[in-house]
Amino acid sequence: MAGSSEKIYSIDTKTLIKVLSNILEVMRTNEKYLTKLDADIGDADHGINMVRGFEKVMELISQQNPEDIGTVLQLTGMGLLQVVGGAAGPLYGMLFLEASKPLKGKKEMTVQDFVSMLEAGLRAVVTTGGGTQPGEKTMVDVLHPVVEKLKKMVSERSDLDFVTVLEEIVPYARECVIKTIPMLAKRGRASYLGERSIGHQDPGATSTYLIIRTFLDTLKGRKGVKISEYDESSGKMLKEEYI
Amino acid sequence: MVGIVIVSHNKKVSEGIKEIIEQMVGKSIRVACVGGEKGRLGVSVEEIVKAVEEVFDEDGVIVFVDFGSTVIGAKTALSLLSEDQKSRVFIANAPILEGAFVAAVEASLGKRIEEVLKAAEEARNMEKS
Repeated sequence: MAGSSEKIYSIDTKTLIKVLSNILEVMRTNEKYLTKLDADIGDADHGINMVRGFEKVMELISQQNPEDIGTVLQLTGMGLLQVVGGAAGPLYGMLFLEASKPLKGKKEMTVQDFVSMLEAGLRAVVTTGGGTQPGEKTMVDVLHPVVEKLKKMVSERSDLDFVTVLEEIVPYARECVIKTIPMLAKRGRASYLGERSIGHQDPGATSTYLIIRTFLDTLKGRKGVKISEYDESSGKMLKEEYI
Repeated sequence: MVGIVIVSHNKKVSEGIKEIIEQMVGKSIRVACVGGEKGRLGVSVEEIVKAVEEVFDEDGVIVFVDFGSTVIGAKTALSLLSEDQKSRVFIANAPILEGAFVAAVEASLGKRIEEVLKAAEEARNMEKS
């Protein structure tokens, strides 16, 4: 798959499991960075939470050896609900649990399925958070615009392959993360900081971006990226390196 | 008898509340407590589900939470219960200590869950000065 320019129109169960195992690597590599972002405006546990969560996910997957995409996503949600504390557990847990529903029993995920999956995941995050809106400095600030853009892309073009779609989506998701910096936090622990939450990049939006981009990296034969340089004061991502 | 679940960011808080209830109301009340421990803040959704199941019976369960992520965690946990359990498990809109204490007193008197919940939520108005 590495360096291949071949068009990928569907992702199978094995590839999805590879994406998840790469997400675990990406979380491990960026644990300190995510924790730093969370230390600035939250409770400094986002990095360790994501690592623990995806370790559990990979443990469940290797124990149960799921054969379809829906079950893989369901186990992902369950693993996160089992071990991740704080708000990240319910938010990411319900995201994957609901995302599994449109993919139930399927062994291949098309681009359209990918969009349905993220759309269901976004709905779960909004509901779990108690009606989170874009602009409140959360993971919704990445998920919402990404889902909207994906829906637009698939409605305009029917022959889309994964790499074409993700190569457009990933830089867009990155911009969305950067846009959380000037936002005033209205949800979670950061909201208690009021004005002091302004000027910091949101950790949840950042991990959501890393997850989305790991789909692209995996399909291109890579593991993912490490945020190798960032602005000390805002946490703004400055440079990424492949791991 | 109505069961009680206490969910705090810190397990010492939950356990302390349980201890107050046991000392002031008695040990007949079923109280399950969860909370962050070993330096970790907060609990997972599954820990809350397990705590509810531990004290659940036909009289129902009231869950007391402190703030923020424990509220989200408890709501998510409730959404994952079976339909039968869902209709008998409630999150109290009440201060965690005062609410759980009042609920324990009412539960020990054999009150129905609606009455216990109402009394616990009125603990919000407890005058202190």
